[in-house]
Formats: sequence, structure tokens, C-alpha cells
Amino acid sequence: MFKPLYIFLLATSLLCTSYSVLAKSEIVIIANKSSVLNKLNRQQAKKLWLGKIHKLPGTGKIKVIDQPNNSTIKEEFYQKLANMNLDRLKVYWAKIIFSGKDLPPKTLRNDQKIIEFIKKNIKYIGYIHSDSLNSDVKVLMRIR
Amino acid sequence: MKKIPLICILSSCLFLPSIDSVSAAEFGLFGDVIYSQSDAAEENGAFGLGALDFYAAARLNDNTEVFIEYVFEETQDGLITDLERLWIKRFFSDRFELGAGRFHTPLGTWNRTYHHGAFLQDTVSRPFFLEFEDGASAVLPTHIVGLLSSGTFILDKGEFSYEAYIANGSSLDSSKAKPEIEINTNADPNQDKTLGFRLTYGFDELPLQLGLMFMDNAIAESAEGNSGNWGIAFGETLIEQQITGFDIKSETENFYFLLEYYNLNNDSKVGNIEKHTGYAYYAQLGYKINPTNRLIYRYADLSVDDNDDYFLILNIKNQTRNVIAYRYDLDDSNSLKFELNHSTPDNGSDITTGTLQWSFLVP
Repeated sequence: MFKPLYIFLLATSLLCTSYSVLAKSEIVIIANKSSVLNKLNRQQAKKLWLGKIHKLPGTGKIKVIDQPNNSTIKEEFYQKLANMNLDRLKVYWAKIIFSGKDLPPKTLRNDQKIIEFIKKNIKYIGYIHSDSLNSDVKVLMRIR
Repeated sequence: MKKIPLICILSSCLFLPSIDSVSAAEFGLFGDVIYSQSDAAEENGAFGLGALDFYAAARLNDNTEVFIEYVFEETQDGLITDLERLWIKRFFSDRFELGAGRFHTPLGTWNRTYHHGAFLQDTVSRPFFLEFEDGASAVLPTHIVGLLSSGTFILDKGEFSYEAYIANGSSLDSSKAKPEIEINTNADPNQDKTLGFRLTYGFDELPLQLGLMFMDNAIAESAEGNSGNWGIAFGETLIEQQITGFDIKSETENFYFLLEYYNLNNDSKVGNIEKHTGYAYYAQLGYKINPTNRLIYRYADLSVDDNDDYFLILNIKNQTRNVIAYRYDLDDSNSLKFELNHSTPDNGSDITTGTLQWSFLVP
């Protein structure tokens, strides 16, 4: 009697928690439409997300947003950008946290939340799946 | 029985979408094990446990961070626990942050970069005069308890940063044969506060950072009653101390270089009532053979007036130290280090100590 209900809930649960693993074409780094930043290169993006720099020529302070730990987009982002897996990233940040200099980037739950946040906060940049892009933000870089 | 998976599934459906920001507290620990052998008389080679260091950090909101570090050390006198750092910090702007709590003193690069976790530094030891207050050759107050403000100014060709602080004054119990520098976590023996600042400038186009520091510290007697060596009351000033210094840090793909120099001005208010000056410095060169292997050389020197009461109370003599070290990272979270540390005191025999350390980080 309960079997169909179980199957339905299980399917819903899987969809809710793992929709991010569905095929997405590429990752894009996005900014507020009014940001003075118009593009980023790979080296700049790597340094920003690893907390090595907090500005670029002609900009004020730039803050970055991360995707949730253990999400496939985060894993892919750091692998492609910095050749780091998430375990190595954790060790990297542990050293910085312990030095008292910085904390890892603010983390938001999904692409939509990141877009909404960046739309309201000009200093922030983030990365999302290209499929989630809309006209509220602009693309600084595509990571293939 | 069937209710449990149903609840799990429902909660995963209902709870996950309700969380927007998933930032959480970050926890970790550092630890190390050593084997040490020296040529000093009556010393046997021995294994030892280094400090076990727990830390936690969290961003309470977009503008507020907290950090806690607790260290456990097993000594001959039993287990010692120390709250090494604890602070809460609020960001007002890039140019002004304010924190309150217990910090590592902004002296120079070493004390603000390397902390209690031995894994972080390339050598087994710290420069001897920068040892923590309970160390045998500690000379400087490496911790403060008070307010610390800091900020960064982004300039055309680099970044200018400042740190400024007001903290409880330090003290010494002169009745002890080998007193520690007391930084007074929960009280201050008198009204005099420690004041200081550190300024740094990092160049955008050069692998170079320069720093300047100043500290004004009235060191009080903390022996109860008049039981100290100079017979003055608890809380009275033993020494007015001013420390000025500079530091240089440079790092390229294969090399790094650290230099810190401190000028120590101690104005004795007891005993040899006069001003004494001295200096302490170290220079460290690191060569990155490849991503997992490093060779390090460090020279450190302390040179002070023989009649300087500050060093007489601390029972610390002039000395130089040569350190050669090799570091091998087994992976990102544990490393083997071997260090030869040759100490040459002005009066006394040279001592060479060899130490093998296996240190780790659990993020």
C-alpha cells in the first residue's frame, strides 16, 4: 500500500538533493550587472577564490561566493581552476583559518540563491551552471 | 519501523530547500610527535608529544567572525591546557576592523603567520627569541589580551595594512628563578596598558612585503607582597620597555626569505636603574626543491646588555643559533621535518640538538 508513496518520495528526494549532478554544459563566473568588472582570466579567478587577492586593477574589494561543500559544481570548479580536489581545498583553507587571516568564502545553497545575492550585492562574484544564467547578472568568464 | 525511512525522506525534502546560506563553523586540529637528541651533558634522546591544538572559527554574520584555539600539552608536571587565542572581530569597512580577545601580538611576520600548529612552519622550532612565553628562551610577549584594530588600504601599486592594539600590560614574578613573561589574560597588575602597532606594505608587482612595528610595555612585578627580588610591591613597574622593529618577507617560486629585527629598549625602574638597549634578529632562507621538499637555513642572534634587569630576571643570555632543516610533505596534511639546531651562548658550551618531527593537520 505504501510502496508507490515510497517510490514517489524517494524520487522527489533524489531530485531535490542531487539535481546539481544533472548534466550542465559549463560553469560561468558571474557578477552584478553594475560591477566595474567585465571579465576575469583563469589566474585572477584562481587567486580570488583561494583568498590570495581581494582586488583587481581598477576595482575595490571583491568578495567571492562559493557553492556548497561536496557539490559537484564546486568539485569541478576547483579542479578546473586550481587543480585541487575538495580534500586538498579543505587543508588549504584550514591553514588560512588557523592563521586568523581569513575564512573560506561565504557559501550559498544553489545557483538561484547566488544569482539573487549577486543581484543585490555589487561587490560579490560567484560561479554557477551556465544553464541557470539569466539577465540579472553578467558573465565574467566561462570555465570549460 | 517503516516510519524511520519515511521521516528521513520527508525531512530531506523539506529541510534542505529551507537553507540559503550554508556557512558553518570550521573545526580542525594540529598535532606532532618528535624524537630529539642533543649533545648536552646528561640529556638522553627521547620521543615526545608536541602540543595538541584544537581550533574553531565561524562567521557569525557578514560582518562578524569568531576564532578559538585551545592547546593541550603533556609536560613533566602533567597535562597543561591553554586558551591560546580567542577573539571576536567585527568588520566595519576594509579600512577598519575591530577585534577583542586574545591574539598573537603583531610583532612581525613569524608571530602573525605561524601559530601553535607546528605543521604550518617549515622548521621544527621557532626563532628562539620568538618562543611562546613559557619557552626557555622567550624574550617577547607573543600574546596580548585586549583590543586589536586592523585595516587595509588598496593603493595603486600595493596594499598598505595596519594593526594597532591596546592590551593588558605584561608582568614578571621576580621571586622565581626562571619566571615566564605573564601576559595577564584576566587581570592587569596595574593601570599601565600595552600599546603598539604594526604597519605593512605589500607590493603588487614584486614578491616583497615590508613591515614596521612598535610596542610600549610597562612590565609590572607580580610577586605577591614584597616577595620579589627587588622588594617592590605587586603591580609596581619593574621595567619600561619599548620595542621597535622591522621585517621583510619575500617569496618567489623556488625561494623565500624572512628577516625580522627588533631593537629592545629596557628602562629599569629597580636594580640597575638605567636604560639598556639590545637587539634580536633572525634571517631565514627557504629553498623549495620541489612541491614536497624544502631546505631551510636560519640564523638568529640575541645581543643585550649584561646588566639589563629584564634579561637578568628572565635568566636569558646572549646567544646565536644556526638552524638547518629539511621538510618533506608526505601529503597535504602531514609532513616530516628534520632539524639541526646549533646554539652558541656567550658564556657556556655550544649545544647541538637534532630533532625529527612528524606533524599533521586534521581539517
